[in-house]
Amino acid sequence: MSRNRIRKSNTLQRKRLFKLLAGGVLLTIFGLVYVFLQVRVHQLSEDIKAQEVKLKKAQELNSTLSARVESRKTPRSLQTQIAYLKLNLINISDPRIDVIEAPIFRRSSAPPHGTALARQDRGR
Amino acid sequence: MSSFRTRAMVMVVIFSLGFTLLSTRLIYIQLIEHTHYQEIAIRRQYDRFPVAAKRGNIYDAQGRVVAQSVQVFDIRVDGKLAVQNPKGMAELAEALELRVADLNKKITANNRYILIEEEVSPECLDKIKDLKLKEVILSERTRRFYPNGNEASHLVGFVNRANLRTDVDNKNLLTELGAGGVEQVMETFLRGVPGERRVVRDRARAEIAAYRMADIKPRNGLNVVLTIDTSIQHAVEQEADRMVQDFTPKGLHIVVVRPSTGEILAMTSRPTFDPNERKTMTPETLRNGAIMDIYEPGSTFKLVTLSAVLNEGVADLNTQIFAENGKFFYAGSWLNDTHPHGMLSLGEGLKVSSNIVFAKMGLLIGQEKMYRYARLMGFGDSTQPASLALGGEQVGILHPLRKWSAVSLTRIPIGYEICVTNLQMAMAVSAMANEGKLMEPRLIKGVIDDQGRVVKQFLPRMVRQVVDKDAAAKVCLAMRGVVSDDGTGGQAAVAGFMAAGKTGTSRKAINGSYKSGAYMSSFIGFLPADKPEFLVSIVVDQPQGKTFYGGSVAGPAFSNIATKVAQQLNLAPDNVTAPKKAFVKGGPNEKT
Repeated sequence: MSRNRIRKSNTLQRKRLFKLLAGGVLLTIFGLVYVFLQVRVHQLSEDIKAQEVKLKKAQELNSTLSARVESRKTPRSLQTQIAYLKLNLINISDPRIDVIEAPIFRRSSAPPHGTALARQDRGR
Repeated sequence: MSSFRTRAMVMVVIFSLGFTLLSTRLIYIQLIEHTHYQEIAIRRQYDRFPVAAKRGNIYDAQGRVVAQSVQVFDIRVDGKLAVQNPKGMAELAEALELRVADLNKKITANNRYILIEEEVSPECLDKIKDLKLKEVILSERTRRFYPNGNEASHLVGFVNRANLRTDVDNKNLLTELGAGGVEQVMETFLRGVPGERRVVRDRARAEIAAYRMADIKPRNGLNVVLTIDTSIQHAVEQEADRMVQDFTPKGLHIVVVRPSTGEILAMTSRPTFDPNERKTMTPETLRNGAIMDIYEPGSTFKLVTLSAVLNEGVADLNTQIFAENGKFFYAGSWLNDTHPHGMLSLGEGLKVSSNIVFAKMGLLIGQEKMYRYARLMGFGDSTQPASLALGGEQVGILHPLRKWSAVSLTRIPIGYEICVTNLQMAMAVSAMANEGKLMEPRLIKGVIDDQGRVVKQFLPRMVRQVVDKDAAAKVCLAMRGVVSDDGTGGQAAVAGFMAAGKTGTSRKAINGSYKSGAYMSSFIGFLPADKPEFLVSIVVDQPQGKTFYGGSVAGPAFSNIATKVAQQLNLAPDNVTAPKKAFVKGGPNEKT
């Protein structure tokens, strides 16, 4: 090969090659990140859906249990419980109860009937 | 050579034509039929469906739940698949705690949607889910739950389920619709607005969660707060049950109201129904007697006459009237008293419930005024505005003056020739207990959202001042005398409190004539007499047994209810000595 032909042939353009390679690598990275993020989006959305199902189940259970609690809080149910457990509760206004601290009454400042305070009043 | 060229040319032409046809078809599909295929694709991939809104709760005045919606599951089975899997069905029977034979009886191969068990418990549901049987279908729905059962059922009402068409692709949504009581009246607040979910599905119709589009969230129904107190309601229900047992009446109704605000604290009727049990609902049990049944009030109406007389100033409580020794002849007709009396003051006339005294009072004020006062107190008219009225409220019968006969003026003042509802009577007497101010009955306190914020409030509303304060005070004073040892309502006395009330016993008209032995027994009274906190009105329709007088049938019931309501409202006793018969040995008011 003559010297002239060698001089005229294309030399390796390193800078351009580097640019091409860097561009390719970047594109590959972007592509992989995109795929990774898409997969994550799908995974997270599936997680959200699973959580939604759990939440719905919890809400259903909550509504059922709250209904059970409410049915046990009704005056009729409480009265049945008192009778069943033989608690023998007596009314707060019963004269057998001595109320030490008079509760706040709506109508009158007089001590409640049957309390120690009322008996003191009668004694005066 | 030429044959090769020819063959090649033929092939080129065939392929060219083929590709041209294919291209034409593709162009046709892609450009001309684009919209059509796009629609098909959207239909297959995209889906919209309505999301049900939760129906609002109903609370009592103390914030206790009276009605709420609960998610429930029914267990159904695909019969065609079930017959092929007896082992699976045995497992299902075990989870449901059923006998295998009983379960198999229900399964038929030609029914692919067989109902096996309704409303299974959460624990049972988990067990069934764990079985992972493809034959089992879990059918989800909501159920309206009323924790108090038949208590206040006429007021609260009930719901029906119906498939309502929504705006979402005209799809149907199973919705609970109020069908009686507050459930119906407050339907617009309770129902809520359904939402919408838009999803993308894959070939197997499963949702691709990543492509889910923005949801339109449902707006849950608002919660309604009532004026009733379930503790007071329970006391009233218990007493109603006792009266049904003791007197086996045809019906009875009790109303408890707060005179100062018109709030209905409790209301019950017999017969009644349990909104949780459809089979208890019959036309008879669904009737709210307190607002639907009209009756001639009898002696309790004397309070209206008394207030008219006192307000007009034509007589006073001390005015002496001759009671004709028990027999009074007027306009060709006799009027009798149960016990003969001579001279009686007006106050005494009320205490012993003399018909003759009050017939004479009617004659004293005249028919125009009698009619005007009856109208002023709300008789012959609805008690509530139409928007808030409980369904089926009757206005009663108060004939216009032109229809009054010669004896009407001696009968209407004693509570005949006029028909009222229990609620009308309760509101009219509440006006006396509230310084002459007639209030509108109030059942709904307000509407709140899920966070407890007030959305709408219904405040107490005065209808009109029917009589002046002094006249009302005098009526209350006279009513105290009735609940005394020598009054007709002695058995209504409440230990520790000064009560006021009036008994009523009227003959019942059946098919246009008064039937012997058929009576309406009633008692209306309030507590404490000096500053009334609550009023109880009891009406018993045809009580059976030894007694039928209002004082003996409804009087003790008033005493029992008032004692419990006073406790619930935490009222301080008046420190008065009530008649001995009001005390129950060993009871809460027994003297030590």
